[in-house]
Amino acid sequence: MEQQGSSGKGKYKVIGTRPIRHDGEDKVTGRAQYGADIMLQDQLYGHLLRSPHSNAKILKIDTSKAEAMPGVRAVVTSQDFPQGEISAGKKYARDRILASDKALFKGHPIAAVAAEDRWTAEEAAKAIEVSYEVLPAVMDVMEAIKEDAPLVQEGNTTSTLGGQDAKPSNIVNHTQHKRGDVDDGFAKAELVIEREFDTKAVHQGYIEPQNATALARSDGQITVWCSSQAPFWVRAELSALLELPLSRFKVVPMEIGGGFGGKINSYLEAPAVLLSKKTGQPVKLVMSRADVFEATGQASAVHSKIKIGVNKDGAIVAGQAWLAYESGALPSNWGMQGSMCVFAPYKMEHVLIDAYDVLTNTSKVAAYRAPSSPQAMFGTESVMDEIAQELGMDPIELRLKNAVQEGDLRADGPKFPRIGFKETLEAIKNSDHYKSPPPSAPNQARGLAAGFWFNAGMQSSATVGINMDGTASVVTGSVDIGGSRASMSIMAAEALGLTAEEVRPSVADTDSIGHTDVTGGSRTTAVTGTAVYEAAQDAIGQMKKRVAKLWDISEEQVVFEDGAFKSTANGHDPMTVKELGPKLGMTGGPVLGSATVAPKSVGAGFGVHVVDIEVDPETGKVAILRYTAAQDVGTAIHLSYVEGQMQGGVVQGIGWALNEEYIRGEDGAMQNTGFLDYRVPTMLDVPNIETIIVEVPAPGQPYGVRGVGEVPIIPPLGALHNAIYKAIGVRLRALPMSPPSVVKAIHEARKIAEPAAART
Amino acid sequence: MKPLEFSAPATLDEALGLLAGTGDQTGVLAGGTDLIIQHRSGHRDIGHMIDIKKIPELNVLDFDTKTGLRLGAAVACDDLGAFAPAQKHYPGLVEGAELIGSTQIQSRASVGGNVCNGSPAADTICPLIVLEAVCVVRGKDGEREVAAIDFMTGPGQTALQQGELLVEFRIPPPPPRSSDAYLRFIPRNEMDIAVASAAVAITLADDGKTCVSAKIAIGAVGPTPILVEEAAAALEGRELVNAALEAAGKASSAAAKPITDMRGTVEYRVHMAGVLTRRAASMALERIQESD
Amino acid sequence: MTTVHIPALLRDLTGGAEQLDVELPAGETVSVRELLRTLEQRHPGLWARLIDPATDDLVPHLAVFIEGEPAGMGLLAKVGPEDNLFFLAPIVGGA
Repeated sequence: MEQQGSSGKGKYKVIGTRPIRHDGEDKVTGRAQYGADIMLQDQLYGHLLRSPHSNAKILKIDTSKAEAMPGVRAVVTSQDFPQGEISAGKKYARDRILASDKALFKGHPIAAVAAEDRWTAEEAAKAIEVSYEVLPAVMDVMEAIKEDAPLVQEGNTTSTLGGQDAKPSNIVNHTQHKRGDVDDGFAKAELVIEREFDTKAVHQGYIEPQNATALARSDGQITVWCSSQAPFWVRAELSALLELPLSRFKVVPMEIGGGFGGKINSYLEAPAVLLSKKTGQPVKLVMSRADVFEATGQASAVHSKIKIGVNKDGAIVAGQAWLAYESGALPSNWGMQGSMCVFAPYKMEHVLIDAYDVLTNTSKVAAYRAPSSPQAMFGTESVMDEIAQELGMDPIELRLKNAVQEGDLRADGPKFPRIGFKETLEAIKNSDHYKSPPPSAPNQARGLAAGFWFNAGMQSSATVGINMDGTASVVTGSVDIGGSRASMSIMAAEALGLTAEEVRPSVADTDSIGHTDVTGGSRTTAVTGTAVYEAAQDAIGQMKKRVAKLWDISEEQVVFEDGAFKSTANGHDPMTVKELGPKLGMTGGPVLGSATVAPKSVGAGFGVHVVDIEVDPETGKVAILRYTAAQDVGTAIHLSYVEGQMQGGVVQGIGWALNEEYIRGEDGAMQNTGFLDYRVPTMLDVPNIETIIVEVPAPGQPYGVRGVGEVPIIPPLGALHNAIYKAIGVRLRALPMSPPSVVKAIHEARKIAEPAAART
Repeated sequence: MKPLEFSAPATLDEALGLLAGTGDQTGVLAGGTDLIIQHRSGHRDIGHMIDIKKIPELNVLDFDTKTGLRLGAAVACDDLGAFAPAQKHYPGLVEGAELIGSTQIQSRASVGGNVCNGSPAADTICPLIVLEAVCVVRGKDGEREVAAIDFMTGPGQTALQQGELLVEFRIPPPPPRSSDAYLRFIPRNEMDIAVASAAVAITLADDGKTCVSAKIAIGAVGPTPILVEEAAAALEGRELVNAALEAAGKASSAAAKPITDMRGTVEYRVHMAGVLTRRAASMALERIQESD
Repeated sequence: MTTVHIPALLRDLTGGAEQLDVELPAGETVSVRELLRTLEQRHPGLWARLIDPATDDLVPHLAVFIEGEPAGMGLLAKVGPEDNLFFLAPIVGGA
């Protein structure tokens, strides 16, 4: 089993190693402080009353019985937001938190109660009387997109650059990308394959439910402790929702038990603040698992049509995609993003992509690891595989033939900078796994697929402080969900010539560090890492002045190389940061380097995965025999956490492909609101995931870091689909490819033959 | 959730006294791995929790070659699994008990609780049925016996009357050349509730080949577990070759009366009742042959 | 030559052209806003479709990209010759 990784190839001392994470002991002993661990002296407990209906007008809310219950201290509704005229966008933002005139999905918060204990709060919520006028609801994207579908938001008209369509519908956006002439392209192509695909909504499945504790003091200062990927965004959201300046708020990110994109939007923070304002005491809210499933942000269900035309040598001539993304009951734009991913890894002269974001009576969808890309690329990777099959081409060779590289145009237009898709394909081609013969027993087979995702840029801040003994601290505002604080200490250590153990990392609250954008978008190690690097350089610059003082030479004569300060003049032995530390006080005082960055984004990430499976044709169960994931990560900072991100993404992709889905009843409500029936893979369901770390350094990042966290969730969908096809001879184009679907497909295949691909 | 009363009686009589005159609002607590979940999620509204784990009669666990196994209703699955005579003589029952939930759950969950929860997907009920287990019930009027096949009367319902307590299971000693097996289908490898299940107990004749007695029960494919007499008939008096196993499987599929819900469709469950019957019968057969 | 890539749904206004080139005097840069005004004169209607009158900024869900890079200054960003200008959805990640 290979676990290939870089060791920096001798270039780096600390980067590419595996120090024990600084937060490790607290996390494995249970000492780590998560949001639910907050216990303030006079804390009250909150509970939300949620809509039982998928779509209903709220006629009246009567909180009097609840307010009268002993132990209940306050009840709030949307009426407790600052009243007055607000824009449509602001109404959407508030409605997402607490319903105003309509309950838009089952689980939509209607009111919030604060009481002396959580059981009283729960009982009090039940005592709130709400009269609803139940309306027809629409849950399915393909139903909601129809002209005559019940309207989720009466005022919604489609936002499109094609001129405003005045007729209300459930379509939020229509996005189109076009290049050349696809009709011409398909006419010229020697093989055209067009297929339709369907994926169900899935949830990020983080183990820690959302929680928030708020203390709104009578002097107007507000502190919020929460489980969030983006404390600065929580602060901004609260500021907008409550119409208060940012300086009133302190948001403290607690340790986070997983996020994967689902903890970028806030949910409980504003209700907690409203309750705390009314009671004058801290109020804590924690979601139940059922609430998390129903009322946070699932990943869009998507229906798609993918058509690709190639020449006999495999070169793609034209590509066309039609994508409809579930938006939930409030506007979102994952379809727009999906339209930029669907054909991204492949060169094609003629392109036509139409993508729609469609309102449904479900919770507003949220990001989930490379959001929009898995659903879009599932279809592409299936069609590519079918093409390879038809042409008798190795699937890697087909992709190599069409793989984008630096200078090639993405399907939606921009040129790619330096990227590593070809290198990643080659890495799989040369891997032990791929070179070994595919499993050959009956019902066993091998499948392969690629994935693409952007790396976001955005803004980060960091400080690097040098201690009086020459050890250091690095402070950032990037919530640590993947081992990033260890990576920050590694990067600071590398820059300063220290060891990772000598650099103490911490994640600061919004008072203690400059604005830092979300931990997400595969940006944290790269961009916050850039801030750390620059803060370290700033500290080094300050330290050079001190060394110059000590050596009585000019600043220009001091350099810092190989982890030590050296003089270009003669007669001075090199001095390390550790040696300089005790002399900082005497030469001018503390040294604190800081940096704020908003760098160029580091260019896309690509992954290629291969999987060997065995299908039990009687039960439809798919056993994964071997799995290898290769990915271009730019430069791997902490090898174990890079591998961990790849493995984690793969496991989530496996769940998405094989078993996870939102199962809705006739009333539209989600039936499987617990981990018993919402089936994420357990450790017994997956083998050790082998990882191959490819390093094509990202231009512009001090250490060449790209992102790693998101890409790995994409290829498993296509790879498993392609493997299942090889094993049983049927393509399951609807996810999940669960045992009943596999058995049904096998039984049906025995009756009907698969339609032949269109050939011209 | 409202506050509730909690009692932990030390004797059977004390427990029966507490249970007399109570109804739905009383929960009998062994491991609590179903009960606590149901109460916390609001599926049950329990006003009085009676913990029966201290009662000696409910913790009995012994085996005698003449009288068979006595399994107290509160005995944890883990303890049953570690009991050597159970492993040897009732591997299917142990299989079922060790599939409930997970290792952690099994340290608390009891076979008694599994059965009293009344779910036809319970992992121990089908093995108990094919082993011809008897459920010993005590009430204020004394003791009575209920055959395992009669214990579950509907989804979530059992033959227990108001004020009654399940005390123990009595399982007859297995005849020579017998074994049993239990299989269930779940989409993952652990943590799921059975989509369909089958338990098979068979006894071979002295020739070591002909089946003289078979019992087959299928679960999660109807409102109660189903004893499939036609499947047994397909095996009895024959050698258990593929054709016989196929016939038994078909009989199980024909007897299955499942619904479509979030764990499975009608078609899939009907199909799986047959697959699992065949495979469980094969396993039981192999066990007999291996012990020869 | 500064190239403005025209979103597909706007091409009815540009006679189907996928991109429009604008000559800039050597060494000069111009803001995206000014560029759009120039293009509006050649292809009337572009401004109304791209700019939200309520905010006097790009319509929501669209951002200015220079090649693949989001332009932090948006409509105020300066572009020069050799730059490729796109209007695309801003990327938010999820890990």
